[in-house]
Amino acid sequence: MLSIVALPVELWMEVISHMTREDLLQLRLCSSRTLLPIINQFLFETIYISVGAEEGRRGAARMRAVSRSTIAQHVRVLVLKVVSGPFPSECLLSLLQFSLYYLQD
Amino acid sequence: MKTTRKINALGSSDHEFRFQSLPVALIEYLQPTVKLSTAFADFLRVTHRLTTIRLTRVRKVFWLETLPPDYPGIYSRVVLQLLDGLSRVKYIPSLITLELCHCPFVNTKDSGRVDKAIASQAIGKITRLKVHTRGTDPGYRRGYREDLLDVFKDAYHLKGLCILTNHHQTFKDFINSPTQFEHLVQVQFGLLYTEASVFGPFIAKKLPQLEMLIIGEGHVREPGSWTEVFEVWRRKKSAMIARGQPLKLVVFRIGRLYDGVAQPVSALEIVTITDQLCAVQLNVSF
Repeated sequence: MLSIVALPVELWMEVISHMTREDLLQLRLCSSRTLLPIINQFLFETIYISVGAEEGRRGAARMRAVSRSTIAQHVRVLVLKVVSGPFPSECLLSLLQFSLYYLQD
Repeated sequence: MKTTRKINALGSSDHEFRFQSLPVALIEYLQPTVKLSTAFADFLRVTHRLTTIRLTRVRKVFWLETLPPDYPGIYSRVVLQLLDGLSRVKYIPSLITLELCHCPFVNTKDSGRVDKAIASQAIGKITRLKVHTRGTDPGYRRGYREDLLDVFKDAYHLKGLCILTNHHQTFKDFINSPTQFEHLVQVQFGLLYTEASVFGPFIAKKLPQLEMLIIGEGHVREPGSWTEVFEVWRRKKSAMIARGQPLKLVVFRIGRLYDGVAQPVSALEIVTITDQLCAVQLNVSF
């Protein structure tokens, strides 16, 4: 009997395209050792790192942590999200958003 | 007590001392000391499959939300750090696309200065470049934006170039010489302002290798110039066919073409022109 690892890559891509990133992370946690390389390949294909005025150093630290781990071998797309400093209206708007959400109910 | 005094003598506080038992990565995250350019260079040295580096902004959460005023300065500083990091790496094995999405491209006080030597060294390691910007008027002061544009213009080795903008001043005369970008294979312009005498030979020279050409909106100054541009191209194609040289163009899209008059060049005229340019079944849309 063939194991799940023997599935062709095309089929894996089809299955994984229906899964969210969170689902994939959950699957990775409970998957066998033989399955890990395939999941890692899809999971760490794109990584997101926030950079900016305050987040810049954090982003740099995270990038260095990634480069020290095995994740770096799988990364194809590196997305750097520019985060600016604290913006007071953001809090106000998110509060308004939440209140609108509850008003709908 | 002894330990605390020792740590304090080194210039650290008790608060920092507590982190010493944690893993290195977590310490660095909590007490970041590393620069973005250094970390980026380290990352590039380790990774072997990286194909795209994309710089973008955080997705809008709410439709009323606007970009904060310090965004252009922060973005430009991050770009400079990335270029610095790229220039430090000697060799990158994979073909890399640099995508600058939502790029403000304005000169602000916080933008920083572009070191042209470092920037051109960094761009030399990039194969494809994509710039997506709204842009604004350049003003009279030269700075970050003009220096970076000069570096982009001199990148003759680029194989892919995608410039998406909706502001006519941002990339005006970006194509200023027929010998620019000698190795281009894929070209996309959202808004193109150029001269027919430059753009005609520029495109004609790339025809043997060109696989994709997309022009969203093209402007030349002289009336009737687009016909001249494509005429140059058509002659080149005839010469290639005579030599038995194959054409590679598979994607060819044109939005609207203007040549010094308010009305765009008629679609029928474009169809006539493009029909004679096609090598294979093309994706022509208007």
